[in-house]
Amino acid sequence: MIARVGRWLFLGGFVAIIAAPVYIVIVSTVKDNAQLFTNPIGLPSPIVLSNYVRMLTESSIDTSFRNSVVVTAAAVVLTLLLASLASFGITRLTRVSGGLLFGLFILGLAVPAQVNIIPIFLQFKSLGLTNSLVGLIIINIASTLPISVFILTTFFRQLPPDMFESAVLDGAGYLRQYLSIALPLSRPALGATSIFLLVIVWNDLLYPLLLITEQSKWTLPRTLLGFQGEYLTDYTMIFTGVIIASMPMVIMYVLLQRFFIAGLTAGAVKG
Amino acid sequence: MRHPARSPVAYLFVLPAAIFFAAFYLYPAVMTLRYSVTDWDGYSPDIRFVGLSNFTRLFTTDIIFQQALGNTLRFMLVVVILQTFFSLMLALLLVRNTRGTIALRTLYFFPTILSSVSVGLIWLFIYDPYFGLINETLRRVGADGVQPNWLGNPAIALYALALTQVWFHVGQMMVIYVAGLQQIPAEVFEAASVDGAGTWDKFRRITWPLLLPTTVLVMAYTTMQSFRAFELVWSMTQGGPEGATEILATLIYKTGLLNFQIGMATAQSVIFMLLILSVFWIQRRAAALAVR
Amino acid sequence: MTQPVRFEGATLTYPGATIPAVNQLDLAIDEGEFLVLVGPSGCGKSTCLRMLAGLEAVTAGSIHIGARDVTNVAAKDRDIAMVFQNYALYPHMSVAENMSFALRIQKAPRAEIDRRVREAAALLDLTDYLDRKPKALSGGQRQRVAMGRAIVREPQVFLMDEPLSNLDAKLRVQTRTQIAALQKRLGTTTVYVTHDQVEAMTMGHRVAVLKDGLLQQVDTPRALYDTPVNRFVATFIGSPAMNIFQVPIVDGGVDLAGWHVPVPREVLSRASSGEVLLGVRPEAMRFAAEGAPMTVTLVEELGSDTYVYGTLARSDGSLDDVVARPWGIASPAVGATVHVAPQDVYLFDGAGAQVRLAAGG
Repeated sequence: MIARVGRWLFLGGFVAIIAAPVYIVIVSTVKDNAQLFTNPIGLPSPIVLSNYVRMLTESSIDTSFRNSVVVTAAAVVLTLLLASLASFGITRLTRVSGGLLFGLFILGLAVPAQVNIIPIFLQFKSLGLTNSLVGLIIINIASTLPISVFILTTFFRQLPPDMFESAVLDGAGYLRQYLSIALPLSRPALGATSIFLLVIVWNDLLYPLLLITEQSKWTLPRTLLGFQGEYLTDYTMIFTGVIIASMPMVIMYVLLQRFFIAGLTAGAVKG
Repeated sequence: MRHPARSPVAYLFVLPAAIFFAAFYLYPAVMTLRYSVTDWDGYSPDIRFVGLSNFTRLFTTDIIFQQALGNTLRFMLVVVILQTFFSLMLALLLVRNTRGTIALRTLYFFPTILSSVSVGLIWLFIYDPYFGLINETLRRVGADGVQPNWLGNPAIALYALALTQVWFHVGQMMVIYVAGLQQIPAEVFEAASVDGAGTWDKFRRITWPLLLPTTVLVMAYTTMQSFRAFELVWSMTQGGPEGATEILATLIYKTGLLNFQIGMATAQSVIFMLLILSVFWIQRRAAALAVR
Repeated sequence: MTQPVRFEGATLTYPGATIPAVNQLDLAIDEGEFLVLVGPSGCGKSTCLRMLAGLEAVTAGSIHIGARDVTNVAAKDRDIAMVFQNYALYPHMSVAENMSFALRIQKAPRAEIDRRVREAAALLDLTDYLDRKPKALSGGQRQRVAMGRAIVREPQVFLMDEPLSNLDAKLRVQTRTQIAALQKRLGTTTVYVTHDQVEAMTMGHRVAVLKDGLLQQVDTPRALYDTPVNRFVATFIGSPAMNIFQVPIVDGGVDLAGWHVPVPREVLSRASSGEVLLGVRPEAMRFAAEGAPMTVTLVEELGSDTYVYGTLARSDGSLDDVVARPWGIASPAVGATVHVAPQDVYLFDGAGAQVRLAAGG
């Protein structure tokens, strides 16, 4: 009996802890600041849409949105391409050579790219890749290749080898094996990895902070950070920005929950 | 002689990714090591070799660095302990796959998909000392006197950030624990019941040992995330007040990119790298010992 | 156009191993022949097959398909089709797509592909399943798809790696005859690997017995049964296995538990030591009024056959196990003592390769 009550208290407490901030954020965006001070926790009355209007007309959030879409789409697609090719190649090599190359990429897992932000900045500066979306795309690819190669290689290794041997005898070279057999069969792994990458790149603050100074090239997280300085304690506006910036992820999460949860733990559990 | 079913074309498949990785990860990594033994400022044409003096300075006279090192470790410890504990509790309570548990799990997982900035901004409001959610609620329930300055008080700021970090990712770790728990066959628990084991016994002698690999994974993942907490800290306190929330990542950023002390910043990076590697090594050893 | 196959001194030693997995294999397979490679686990039979397919690299020696030396030819260029033990079907492709995969790679004309797939499907009774995916098929059907994939290629050689081992016993017997009939009809040179000596004996034109990487004997099934070249082949082929007794040489013959078995002096002189191995097939253990005394321990009545298990006592008291297959007489009771007089005995050298000294007389 006590256990039962305790369980519900604990879970309910966590619901409150997790949901309350989210509730506050959503509800605050349709209040004005006066309401926020006098009635921070309650429901808005009246509902105020001016925050959204202001945000969408005055701020540059739409440019940032576009930048985020471009960088995320390009980085995810290219990383998947490079990583799936590399993982397939690794599984076709001998255990020694394949293991060495695999280990090379795994180095990237142990030591996150954050440790090298200084040389990355200097290198990109000398290559003219600062202040460019291309630079952002490149660094996002490089930093997510290790985990992608890890997940996909683990997956490819589980495919039955005699299926590929049969394909070899049928006359298939590596490219044909990759395109006709490995890729179609790896849809679940590719799906999980793409979600994983999507969330990482979309939400990344470090690289735009590091590499981009021109406001027109900021991605959403960087713009949000800028709101802190711009709107100071105008939390209703800040939260409006948060909502707009998080919308795509939230919508996808609501629609594809199972895949999100699978994808974001794919890198972990499969290890 | 060459293997008739293999071909060096396989290397071509790995080549593009390898080039990318070598150029934009390995090369900067090597450069970190190189610059750490200089006193370069990022601009002047000559780069002077200064041996290990950066490192000695960091460990002897640089109290800011030492403070950041301590903060990083303390942050990591608090986050790992709290997050592991709570995620395990939640997972144990929600291990069955009913409509209700799945709904709750989906809710708890939600914060993970937000960006660190969003989380940081939300919690800036919650921690606001004047009308933030916490202090406002405390006033409402009559505890007027308890109005801590969560992020402005150097004594508690780091712990406030740690709590935010736990809020951020506890759902993700919970899901990993659920997966680990669901892999334990039900018969094992049934056999234990038949053998007379009670709830606590079952946990201590069956669940916990069988979950050790998962726990190791959760701890490793949490540790890695806590080292990456740069974005969260930067969104909320930028390392203040008075360096109370300065972690190695933020210090490196400031030293290298705001003060242009490239040599010192890369030296800090090297120590950061060594710290991460040794923490992982320790975790692996502990895991191997525990699993035995 | 099918071709003969030849292994010349083919050897494969895995890196780091001291003993070769396949040791100096010399084997010639005729055009259109159905050759079975048989032997216990680890004898190297699958490795031989894979060497021929090009899935393993040959360490020494050569392999020829027809006039071509294919030792260094890439697997995909050898014009060989293989049926794998676990079928290796492509799970995301339909039966028709699985079967046409190789032809599509060769960019064969559409009409030709359709024709071949249809004909093979008709041969294998798969016509109704052409659009299904492997997971919607039974084990037997999947096995036929694997065969269909090989047939469609019209290759120079068929390779089969224990294709029946994943089927249940009844299906296995059925499919065995189907495969043999199919091969006869298509006339393609076939190399078939199995560990089941019944399959080997019933399906092959000739059977090659391997042990520890070495070819023991290659012969027709009848010849292997009647004239095994050594003790291993003698006991491997035939079920229940041939009885083997270690017996001392006496004047004019050998002594089996007190019973004198006559052996020509000329044969005895070829023995390398004073003890030889006496081999007697179960059906050659005649129950007689006079013979070696056998204590019956177990009687198996199978309806058409009866197997009697028992022991023979040696002079020093130790016991040898015996299996006899009597016919035309009543089964003895357990515990009774019957007298067995071996007929058509085999003699094997007691040492070394234990080669046959004499057979069946």
